Amino acid sequence: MREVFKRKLYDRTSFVNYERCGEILNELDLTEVYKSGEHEIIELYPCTGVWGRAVCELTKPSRHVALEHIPAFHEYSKKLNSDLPTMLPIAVDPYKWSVYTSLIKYGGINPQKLPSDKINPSLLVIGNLTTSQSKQLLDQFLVTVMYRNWLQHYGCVRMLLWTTASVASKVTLTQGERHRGRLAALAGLFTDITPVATFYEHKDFAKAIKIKRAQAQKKLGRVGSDVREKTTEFAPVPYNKKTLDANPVQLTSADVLGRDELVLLDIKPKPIQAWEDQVSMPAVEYVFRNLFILSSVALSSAVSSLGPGAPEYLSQKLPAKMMAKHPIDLSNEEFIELLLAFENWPFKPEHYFDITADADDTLQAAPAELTSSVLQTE
Amino acid sequence: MLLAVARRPGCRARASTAHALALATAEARRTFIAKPSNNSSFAPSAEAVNPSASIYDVFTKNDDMPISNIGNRPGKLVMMNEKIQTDFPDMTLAMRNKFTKNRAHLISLIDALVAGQNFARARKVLIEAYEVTSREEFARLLNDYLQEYALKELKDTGAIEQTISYLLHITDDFKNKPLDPRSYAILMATACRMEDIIRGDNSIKKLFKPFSGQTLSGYEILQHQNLFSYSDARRIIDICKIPESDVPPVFRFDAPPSTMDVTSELDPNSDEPLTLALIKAQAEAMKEAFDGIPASVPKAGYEELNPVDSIGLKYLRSSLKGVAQVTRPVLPIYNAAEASGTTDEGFLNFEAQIEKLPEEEQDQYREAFEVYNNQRQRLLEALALESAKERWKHDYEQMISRGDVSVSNINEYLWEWHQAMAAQVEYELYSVDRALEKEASTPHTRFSAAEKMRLRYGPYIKLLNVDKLCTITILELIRMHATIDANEGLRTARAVLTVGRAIQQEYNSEQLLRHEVSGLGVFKPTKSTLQNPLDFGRALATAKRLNEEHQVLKSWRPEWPEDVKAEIGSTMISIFMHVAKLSVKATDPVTGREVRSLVPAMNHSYQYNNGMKLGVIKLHKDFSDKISSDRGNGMIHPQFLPMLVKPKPWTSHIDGGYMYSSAPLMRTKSSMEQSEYVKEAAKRNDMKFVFEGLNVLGSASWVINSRVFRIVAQVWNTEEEFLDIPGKISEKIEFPPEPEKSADPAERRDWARKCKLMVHNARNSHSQRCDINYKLEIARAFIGERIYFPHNIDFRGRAYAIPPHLNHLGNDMCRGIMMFWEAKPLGERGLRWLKIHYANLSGYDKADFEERVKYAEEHIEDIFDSADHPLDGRRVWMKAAKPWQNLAVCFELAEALRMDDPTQFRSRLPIHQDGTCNGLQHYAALGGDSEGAAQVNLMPSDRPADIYTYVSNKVSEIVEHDAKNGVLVAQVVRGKVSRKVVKQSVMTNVYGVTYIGARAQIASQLKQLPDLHEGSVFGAASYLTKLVFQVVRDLFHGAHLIQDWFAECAKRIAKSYPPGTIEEDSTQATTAVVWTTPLGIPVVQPYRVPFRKQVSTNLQTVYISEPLETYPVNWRKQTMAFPPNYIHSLDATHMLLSAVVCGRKGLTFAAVHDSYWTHACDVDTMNTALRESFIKLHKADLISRLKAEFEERYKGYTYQIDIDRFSEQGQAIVAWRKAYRSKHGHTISLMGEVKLETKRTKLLESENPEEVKKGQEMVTPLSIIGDADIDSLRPPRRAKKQFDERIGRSSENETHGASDAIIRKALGVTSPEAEESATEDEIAAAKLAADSPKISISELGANLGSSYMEGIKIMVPLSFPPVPPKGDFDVERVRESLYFFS
Repeated sequence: MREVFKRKLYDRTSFVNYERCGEILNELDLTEVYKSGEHEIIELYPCTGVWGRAVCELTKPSRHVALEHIPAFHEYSKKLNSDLPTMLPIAVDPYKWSVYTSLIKYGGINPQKLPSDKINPSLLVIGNLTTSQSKQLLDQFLVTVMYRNWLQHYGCVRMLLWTTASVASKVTLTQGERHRGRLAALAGLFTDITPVATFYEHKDFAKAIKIKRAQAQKKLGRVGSDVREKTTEFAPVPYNKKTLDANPVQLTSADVLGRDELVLLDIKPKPIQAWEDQVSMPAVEYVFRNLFILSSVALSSAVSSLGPGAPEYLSQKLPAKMMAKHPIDLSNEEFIELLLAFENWPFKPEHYFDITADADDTLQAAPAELTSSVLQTE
Repeated sequence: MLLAVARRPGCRARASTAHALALATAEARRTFIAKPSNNSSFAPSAEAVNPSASIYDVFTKNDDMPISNIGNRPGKLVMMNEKIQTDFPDMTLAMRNKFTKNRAHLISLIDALVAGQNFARARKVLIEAYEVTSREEFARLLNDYLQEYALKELKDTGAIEQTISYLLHITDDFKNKPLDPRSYAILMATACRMEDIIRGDNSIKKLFKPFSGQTLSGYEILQHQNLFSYSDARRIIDICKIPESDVPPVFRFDAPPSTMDVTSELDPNSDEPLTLALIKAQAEAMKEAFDGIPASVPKAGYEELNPVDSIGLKYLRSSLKGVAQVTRPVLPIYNAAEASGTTDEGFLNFEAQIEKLPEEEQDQYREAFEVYNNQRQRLLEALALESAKERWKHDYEQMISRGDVSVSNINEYLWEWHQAMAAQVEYELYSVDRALEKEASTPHTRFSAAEKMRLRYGPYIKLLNVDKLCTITILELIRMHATIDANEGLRTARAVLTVGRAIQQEYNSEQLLRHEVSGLGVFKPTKSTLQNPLDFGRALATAKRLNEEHQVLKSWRPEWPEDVKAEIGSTMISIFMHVAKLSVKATDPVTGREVRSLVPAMNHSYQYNNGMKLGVIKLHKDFSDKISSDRGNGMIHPQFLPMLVKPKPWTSHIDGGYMYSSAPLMRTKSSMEQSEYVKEAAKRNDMKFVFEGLNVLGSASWVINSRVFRIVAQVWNTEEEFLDIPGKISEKIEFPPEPEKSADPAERRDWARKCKLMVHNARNSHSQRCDINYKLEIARAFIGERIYFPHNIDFRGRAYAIPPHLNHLGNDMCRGIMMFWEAKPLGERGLRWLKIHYANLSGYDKADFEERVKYAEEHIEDIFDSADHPLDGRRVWMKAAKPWQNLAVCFELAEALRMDDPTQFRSRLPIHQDGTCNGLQHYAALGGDSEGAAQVNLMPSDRPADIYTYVSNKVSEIVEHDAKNGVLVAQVVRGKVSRKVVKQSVMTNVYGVTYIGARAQIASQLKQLPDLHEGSVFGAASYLTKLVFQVVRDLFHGAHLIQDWFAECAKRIAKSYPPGTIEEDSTQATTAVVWTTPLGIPVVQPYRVPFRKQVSTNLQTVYISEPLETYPVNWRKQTMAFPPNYIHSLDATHMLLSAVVCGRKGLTFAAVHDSYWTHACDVDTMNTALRESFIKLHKADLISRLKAEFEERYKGYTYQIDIDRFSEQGQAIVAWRKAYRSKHGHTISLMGEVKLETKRTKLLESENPEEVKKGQEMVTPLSIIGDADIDSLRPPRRAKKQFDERIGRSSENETHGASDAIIRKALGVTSPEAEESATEDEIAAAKLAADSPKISISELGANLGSSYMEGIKIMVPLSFPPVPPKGDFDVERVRESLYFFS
């Protein structure tokens, strides 16, 4: 297999050790939720198709749609899984929202819309998000949980996603961890995320030690564990006991095709919460986007990014103890309290469009500046 | 940069062989400076251009200076501190930087301390500065100190004798830097103030003694005229027995009496500093003027413009009041206008009216006009700040008197904030004083961080008064806010620096004004002149004239350190943010009631921009709504307005342009290196023709085209969209309804995108409207006035008008509302050119001249209709390519054609002559490419050629051929290649556009084609780009070889090291590409990689790069940018050369880079001039000259190359290095090898045979290489593997049709909609996009240069590849080319 994909991996890293799939699947309660023949699977970027095959064989879905637009991968996985009758590989790019619209429209999948109070047993999303775009895509999938749209429209659809250690660390950091950012906070508010398998063996361990301590930790040890504790113990072995408990399956380079360190994330959307009706989701996006710009200063200053006058207003509405905390230290309950207060602020912004950060080409449609590199006028 | 050393042939020629070599090179240098023997020339009178004259001749004939050229000078340009180079040859970059920085800081600190009268500290710092400054610099600092000290002591204690002895004592501290004449002048002037006359006389005598011992004449002392009153001077002359011949004219016995009552600067009896007195007097005069004048400059017969709900305009208007100063000279025209009550045309018909007067009165009126303009110019430049503050105060008082609660106008806030801020700033200054006091007695370690900061910026911030500090900060913040994209907020780093700079600039202007007042020689304002405006103006005008003759005025001030500016800026901004609060209202979402709240008008926060966390200052929406309405509102710095008098001629790198505020000759991005070169060149008088050219551009007088203006104003006031004037945007944007929460993410995304686009567009058109408003308001204020635009140059020598808003370089509307002040009769030819101009502006510019004339004649009806009924007629002009300018021509043509003899019509319109793809014209001339030359009209032809059409036709041919041969992508683009598709890439090809860039340009054109499937755009663009590059390259073969040569030279230079430097990290090379344009401008490419240092300020830490430091060059940018920059420096030379020639012929000449303008009747003359200039420019072998300059400039430099590790020599070097290591126990560094090599060369050159033998025995990498051709040893190039990201990445934006079809196919579904689209086609298109030809980058020539090498690094002496061969094109043919510029 390595020979087949020797030349081009398209920036992907994928899990290829079929023998170890069972080990990982054992950690998940898939067959308890997804009954044979009563559910469907959508697989994004199956790559080699090994993992998809294992899940398909275990849970026996009524249909397993594998969306893969790179011809080499598509052909390979198609051939590999040609003996699975429910497996349907389609050569389209799952990055596009419209792909799902078409799939549902033409009966490719037929999920049942169920109340959002528990995991939807009729649909499972699995996939490989390991390219440079993957953080963006994962981000968007989490936002769909927030809006309960896309596949989440059918109610709490669970997602099993392979991703890289750096992305996983961004999503899974919990309250109080130093690099916890917007994405982790949002994810924590709307989903339960557990890393099921992590990469263990480092290619060049001596080099890794040389890399600045914090960096190495971030790369190796961050995933799903209490970082503070690890900081003290980080020496030859990057995972302490606690980490090993949290991540029962450890992967090695023999299991993996590609350059990155793989992590399998199990993402379960939380049941719909009462406060969700009282706050507009664009406001939630706005608050999180701006709050975490200053993630390590006291909330009383950090909220200045929410708009002029916000510190004064929110100081009146929220407990002083909370205002003294840093955004990374806030609990879910405190976030909710902040969101509710923000929603009631008379002087909150009129719209929440983030115009600056937009690299959208519709906004930058102006023709490339002809001589910008050489013209040096004021 | 600081590394160049003065090199004079004498020093170099130590050995006799070296001497001979030097002579030979000097000879060689002389040969390439073209100095044709033909000595005919352009005489200053308006003679016909002599075609055989050389440009060099033109300039050498009347001036002793040959055209400046670095090659024929004794050495290269001396850089700032040769001291460092010679004293510490082994200093590292960091050490050198510390040294220079320290020096510059000391200079500016002393300047600030002296001006702030902190003499104790200044004296301490002087001692430090004594060690590091040059003699000249130190003398200036010391003298400033002496003068200020004497002045203060005279005023405070009057203890003159003590003062003198103290001053003498101080100067004793500095042994090797003796007193210069100015020091003596200061001391003597001080002595003159002694009450006891006899002791005073003695003192003077005593002082003169050591001075005369230096064999200097009394003139040296008396030339410092500002220090002496007339009687002082006579007294010194008598006591010291200075012969009358040594006395400057003002102090002679027979000097005119009007100059006798002047006061000296050192006269304690002048009760307050003159500047203050002057400003006060002006302010009073202005106040009177304000009181009587409505908000806008009165212009009878002109509607007021509807402002964009604006306060900024009010500032502008009050600033502009200088234009409407009360007492107009009584001219016949005013009598006429006022009597008839018709439109106020200002001075539009000034000349025509004047001519009606008897001759003896004409001069008198002209004189009065000049004086009147001078007076107003002064007001415009001096009073901008005052007027803004007055306006706020006025509005505030109005509000109080109205008893208003709701604040409708931001001005009222501004005054309140200004007041609150002033109190805070007072306190800050108090804290600064306390810190400074404490400094004397407390060790530095005991200061808090804030106090340390205060110690640093304290001396500077104290230089301006509190009111001014506050006003500048407020205005600068508002102004900045208007110049940025409102979406982004103000970047803190930029904001603090800008405010800091503005404060420094204001201080500099104050000083300038003060020097101007006191230092003008004859003119010293006394109370009587100040009270009488007419006298004042007249005296000023005389002074100006004298000033121009003697160049007394010097306007140098040291730059403040950047971190000090940042600290001052942030302190001021913090204070502003602290005090500025707005009252806002909104509806409470819970109670539904209206609530009010006090919020900060500006807040500091952070945001992400392209993944970078940026500190920004954001304005509250309510505040920004009120002020963002006007772009560039706020402080109207005088440098933002046109001038009423002819700009001050350029005489040095900082003297020229505005009268009372300084602008640099060259716009640089705070690059010390550039300005040092320019300064040096200016000092050597190398740039006199550049000055002359700029003076010609600056002396073109303009007037607002009031007829066009009236139409613009009319449509403006309808507030509807009209041509490129966007309509007024209603405040609230109507967004489309938000999709359901559960809607598909794609739907939500599209909605958000649409909304963002709406916000974006609304803001854009709003700010565009503001920009136009701003321009129009300035134009309106200047209606009927004769205006001028001072010009300066960018680092390549391209000229720009300094006033940024309204100028002739602006858009079509700007150009439409301007015309020349002078009116000239058309004549036959002029009428013809006016018609051609009409055709050109209508977009009919590809035909030959006869056809264009015919075109105009066929459209006579349209022209009359447009002129008579611009808005209520058929509006043909609006459909023209350049509508507003077209309308202006219609007015002129209609009026001319209605005359009995149209040729007698006095025309003011500038007629444009534009180069055809000017960059390629220069390239074709350089490369001698005949075929290319023909396509850009360098060759005579019956019809104008069009390069874009030519290229598109050629490309189409190839496409056709490929398509027939079954190339899939060719079949897709077949028949779709048009002029428009290729135009941009052809144009930018000259400017080094990359393959990727060109592909994007072509793709964006292809996307607009309706019948090209979106999925195939990328493949098609890749294919076409390759073809376009190929065709252009074939057409300009020679030029492309030169382009490659340029790039290679630049690359070598940017990676080279001056002799004796020790950095050897290839990222540390500091050599920039420097060359001299044929007109003598030294061009220094500024591209470097600055290290930013962190400065913590009150707001946040900001990263600042210190302009005084030397940073490693960005070699990639140096290389990429050199070819286009060189071409730009040539087109700039061509323009300035043409300007000089036209100026000497008495033409009015204006230019926008490669578009030259003059009166219709003078177009033929200008055409000849510009052709001759071009020929003369390219007659010289520019490229050989450039090579010779490089060789001279970079002599002794070494640069790093790779050679093939596996070559014979490569192997030998590896072995040698290994042996060295085992012998010495360490590896030899590259610089170690260079040192070894230097030693070897020295030995080989020695006259001692033993030494020579030793040298021959030495082994170095270069001795190993020996005579082998280095280029042949280069490692083989390998093309980089291309990672096709495009397939790896997905794009949401790609067409959906294809994937929908694939899904249908996979699911076996045929839906009814499916039949509408051609499924198979879509799949084919998607397939095509994926399979599009991957062009190997290395195929695509030097523009792309992306391949890598493997090898070992060695240092070799910097040399340049031979100049590529030139084609057979003869540049003389340009002379007959009708359409060269047309």
